[in-house]
Amino acid sequence: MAPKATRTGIGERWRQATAPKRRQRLFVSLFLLPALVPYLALYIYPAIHAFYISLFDWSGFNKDMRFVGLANYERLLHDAIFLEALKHNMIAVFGGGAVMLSLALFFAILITKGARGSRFFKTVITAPFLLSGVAVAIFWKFVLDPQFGLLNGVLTAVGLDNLTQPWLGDRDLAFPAILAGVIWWWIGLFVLIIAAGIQRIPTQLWDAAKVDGATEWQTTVRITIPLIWDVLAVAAVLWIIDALRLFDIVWVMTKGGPGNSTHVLGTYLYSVGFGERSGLYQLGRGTAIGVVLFALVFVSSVVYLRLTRRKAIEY
Amino acid sequence: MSGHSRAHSRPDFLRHVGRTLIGILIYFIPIVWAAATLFALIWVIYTSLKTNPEIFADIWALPKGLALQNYVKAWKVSHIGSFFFNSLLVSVPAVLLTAFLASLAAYTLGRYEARWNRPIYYLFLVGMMIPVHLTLIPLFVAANSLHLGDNLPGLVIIFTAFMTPFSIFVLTSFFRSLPGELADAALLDGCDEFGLFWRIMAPMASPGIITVSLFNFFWVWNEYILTLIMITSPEKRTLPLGIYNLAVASTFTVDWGALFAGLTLLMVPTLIIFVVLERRIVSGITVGALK
Amino acid sequence: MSNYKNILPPVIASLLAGLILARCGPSTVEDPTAAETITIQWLDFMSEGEPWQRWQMEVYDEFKKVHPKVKIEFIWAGRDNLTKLQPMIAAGQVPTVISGGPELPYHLGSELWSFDAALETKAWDSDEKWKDTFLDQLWAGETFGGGIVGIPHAPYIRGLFYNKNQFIQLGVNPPKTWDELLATCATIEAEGVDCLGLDNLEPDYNSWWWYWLVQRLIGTEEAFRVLSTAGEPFADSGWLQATQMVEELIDKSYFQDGFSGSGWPAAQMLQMRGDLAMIFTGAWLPGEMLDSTPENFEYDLIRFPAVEGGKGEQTAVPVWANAWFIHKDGPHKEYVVDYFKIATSRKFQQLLVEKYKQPSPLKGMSAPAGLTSLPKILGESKETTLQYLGLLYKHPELFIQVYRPLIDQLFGGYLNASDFLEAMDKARDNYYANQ
Repeated sequence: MAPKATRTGIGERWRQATAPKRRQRLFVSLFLLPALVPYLALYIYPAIHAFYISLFDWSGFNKDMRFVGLANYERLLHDAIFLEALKHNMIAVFGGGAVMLSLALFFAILITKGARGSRFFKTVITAPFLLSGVAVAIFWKFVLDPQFGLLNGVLTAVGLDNLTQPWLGDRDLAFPAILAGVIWWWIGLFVLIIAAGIQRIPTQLWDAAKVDGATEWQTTVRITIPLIWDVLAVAAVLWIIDALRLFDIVWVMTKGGPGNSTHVLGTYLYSVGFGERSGLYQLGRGTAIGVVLFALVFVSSVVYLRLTRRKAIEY
Repeated sequence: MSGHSRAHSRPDFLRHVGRTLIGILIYFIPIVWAAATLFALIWVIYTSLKTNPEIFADIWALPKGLALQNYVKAWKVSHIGSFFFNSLLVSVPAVLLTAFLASLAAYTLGRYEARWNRPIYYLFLVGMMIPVHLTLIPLFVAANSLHLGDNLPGLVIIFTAFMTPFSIFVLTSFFRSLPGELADAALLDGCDEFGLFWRIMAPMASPGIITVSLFNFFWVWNEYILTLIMITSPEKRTLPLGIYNLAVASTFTVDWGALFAGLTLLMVPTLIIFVVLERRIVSGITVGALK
Repeated sequence: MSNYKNILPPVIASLLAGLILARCGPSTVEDPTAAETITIQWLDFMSEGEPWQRWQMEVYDEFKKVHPKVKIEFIWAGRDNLTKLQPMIAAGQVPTVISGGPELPYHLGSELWSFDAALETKAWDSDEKWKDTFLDQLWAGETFGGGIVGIPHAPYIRGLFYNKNQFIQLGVNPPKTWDELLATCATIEAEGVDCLGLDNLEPDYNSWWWYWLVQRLIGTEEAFRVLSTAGEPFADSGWLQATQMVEELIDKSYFQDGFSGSGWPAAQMLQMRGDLAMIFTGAWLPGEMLDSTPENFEYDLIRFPAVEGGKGEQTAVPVWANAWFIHKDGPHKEYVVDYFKIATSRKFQQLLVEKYKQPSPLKGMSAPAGLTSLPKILGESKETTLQYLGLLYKHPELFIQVYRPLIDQLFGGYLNASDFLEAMDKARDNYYANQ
C-alpha cells in the first residue's frame, strides 16, 4: 500500500501547481451563478412545482387538492381530443416544417442571388413576424371568411368559384388553413437564418459549378444544402419548438373547434386548465398536458439535434 | 442541337418551355407573397381609419375619410401614454440585465472546460421548451413570496429569468467561436478573468449580443401573459396589457376601429425599428446562428 | 489581490440574488385597516372601456360619497379574470368581489358568500325588501348550495334578432311557430336574402338551435335526464325530430352560405348590410352593436318559435345573468353590499338602460332600444330555465368535451340525424364508463 501523501509530498505539490487554475475555474464558475439563480428560482422551480400539481385533481379555486397520482396522465392515453390535438401538432411539425423550410430555402436562395428587389422583398416577408399572434389571427380569420373573405373573393374573381370553401368549417381544411397563416407569419425569421447561412458559401463554388454545367437544381441539392446543413438544423429545431408550442394564433382563430378539428396541445391545455369562462378549470389535468407537451418538445429537440449532428464541412 | 432529327429535338423544346415556365413561377411566387403581405399591413392601417359602420359595411373597402377618433379612443382606453413608460421601464433594464447575465454565463460555458458545463447548458436549453401556461400559478406563488409580485422591478427579474435560456443558447456557440489568441495575449499581460471578459471577449461578441438583445426586446415589449398574472395595480400595467384590454373591450363593444387603431399603434413603431435595424439583425444572425 | 477585485461584480450579483431569495416567507394578506382608509379588492371580468365598466365607475362615484373612507381597487381583468383568480387564491390573496358569468358559482361553489341575509334588508331607495325588487326568474341561476350567492347584473335571454325595417320591407311578420318560421324563411330567401345567420366557429352558437328544439319537443327536465344519465336511450321520437329539424334548416340553405366556416361577428356584419334577416343570439346584441349600427337599422327580437305537438313548455325561455359574487374569505363585505344596493337602485338602473342600453334586472324597468320585446317575452314565459338545459353548468366536461364536438359534426354535415343520436348515446355512455 502506497504511503499516504503528506503535506509536503507529491499530492501537495500537485495541489500547489494547479491552484491558480482551480481558482480561475472557481471564479469563472461564479460567472454562471447570476444567470442561474433567477432562472432556477423563477423558471425551473415553478416548472417542477407544476409537475407536482399535475399529480392532483384541483380547480385552482380552493385549497381542495386531491391526490390522484398519475391518473391524469393515464386519462390522456384514452383522451380522444388529446390524441387529436397531438396529431395536429405532428402535422404542424412535419407537414408544416417541410413546407416552411422548403419555401424559406427557396426564398433565401432567391434573395442571396441578388435578384432585383430582394432587399425590399426580404424586409416585407419578415414584417409579419413582428406582429403579435392576435393581429395575425384576426387578419387571417377575415381572409378565410366564407362570405366576404379575401381568399374566396379572389377565387371567385378568377373564375374558380367551385374551389371556394368554408375553410375553417371544413374539418380537413381548417387546420391546414391555420398552418398556412402560421407559415406566412414566421417565414421571415427562417428566411433570414437560411440566407445568412448561404451567404457564407464562397462564390467560387457557384462559379465552379456553373463552369461544370450544373443546373440550378443540381447546384442547390448537391452544393448549397450540404453546406448549410447546420443552419438548416438550427432552423428545424426552432420550428419544432414553435410548432409544438402553438397557442395564440389557433386560440384566437377557432379556439380549437369546430369539433376539435383544430386543437393543438397548447389550446387543449388552456381549455382544460383555464377554460375561459365556461371552461373546465381542471388544473391538474391541464398541467399534465403541459408536462407531456414539454416532454415532447424536449425529446424531439434532443433527438433531432443528435440525428443531424454532422461535422461541419470544411471548404 | 441543330442537325438532330425531330424525335430528338422535342425533349429539348419541352425542357426549354419547362425552364421558362419555372422561371415565371419562380418570380411569381415571391411577388404574390410580398404583395399579399404588403396588403395585410396596409389593410390594418387603413381599416383603423374607418368608422365602425364603414368597417361593417365592407371590410375591404378603403376609408371614406380619416376616422382619427379611433386613435383617440385607442390611446385613451389602452392608456398608451402612461403604459408606454412602464413598458420602457421594464423592457430596457430587463434586456440589459439579460444581456449581461447571459453573456457572462455563455462566455463561461463556451470557453471554459468544467464538468458541470454540459449539464448546466442543457438545463438552460430545457428552459426554452417549457410552455408558459404550465408555470403560471407556481410562478405567481414563488414570485410573490420573493416580493417580486405586482411591482415593476419584480417584472424585470422575472423577464430576465425567462429570456436567459434563449440568449445563452445563441451566445454560447458565439463565444466559443471567438479567436483565442487575443485572450492568451491578454492573460499574459496580467489581465484577470473578469477583465478578460469585460474588456476583450464581450466587445468581440457584440454583434451577437446586440442581435440577441434585439430579439429579447421584441419579446419583452410584446409580452402579456406573465404581466397579466403578475401585475394587479392598474397604474403598473405595461403596453401589451393595455392593448389586450383594448382588444377585449373592443371585441365586446364590437369597436373594430379602435382595435385596429391600437394594433397599428403597436405595429408601426415595431416595423420602423425593424427596418432601421435590419442590417444589424442580419449581420448578427450571420455570426450567431451558424456556429 | 487584483483577481479578487475583478470578480467582485459577478459575486455581488449572485449575492444580491441570494439575498433576495433569502427574504423568503409566505406572503400574508395585508389587513388594510390601516389608520383611516379601507381598501377592498374587486376582480371584475369586464375590461376598461366597456359600457359595464364605465357604468360601474359611475356607481362608484356615488359610493364614494356614502363611504368616503372606503377605497375599492377595481381590477378590470377582462374575461380571463378567473385565470387571474387562480394564482391569487394560491398565493393567499383573496379579492372580496368577483364578477363573472352564470358558470362561476359552479366553479367557485362553496367559496362564495351567501347574500340571503342581505337580500332580506331594505333596498337602497325604497322600503321594499331588496330581494323583491329583482325579477324573480333571475334567482334560480344565482342559487347555489341552498343560498343565493350572486347579485345579477342584467337578464339575458336568447331570441331571434331581426331588423324591424327590413321585415317591413320584405313584407314578412316575425314568426311565432316553427312552421311560420319555415314559411318566412322561404319568402325571405326568395327575395335573395339569407334567412338565418350562424357563426358556426363560435363555440356553442350552433348548439343553441339543437338544445332549444330538444327543449320544445321533449321538455327541459326529461331532456336533461336523458342527456346526463348513462344508459338512457334516446327513445322519444322528439330526439330524432329535433335533429331532423336542424338538418332541414341546413339542407334548405336557410343559413348563410358557408356558415360552417363563419366566425363571429361575420353574421352580424352581414345582417347590418341587409344580406341576412335573423340571428339567434343573446340580448347583449344591441348594446354590443351600439357604435356600428347604421341609420335604417332597428333591432327587435322574438322568442324561439313554438313547435306544434312539442311536449316541452313552448313559452320557455332560458334566462341567465352575469353577476357579482363575494368570496367568503374577502374582508369588508358589508361595504360592497352597499355598493350593490346603490347599483341596483332605480336611479342607476335607469342610467344603465338609457345610457348604456343594457336590460335591467329589476322589476318594472323599461327595456332599452333594440330589446323592446324583452319584458313581454320574459313576462309571458311560463318556465325559465338555465341555458343548455343546465348541462353546461352541471356537467361541464360532458357538455364541452363529449356533446359539443358531435353537435359540431352535425352542423358541419358530417353526421346525419340517426347517426348523430347513436354517436351521442355511445359517447355519453363511454364518458360515464371512464369516470
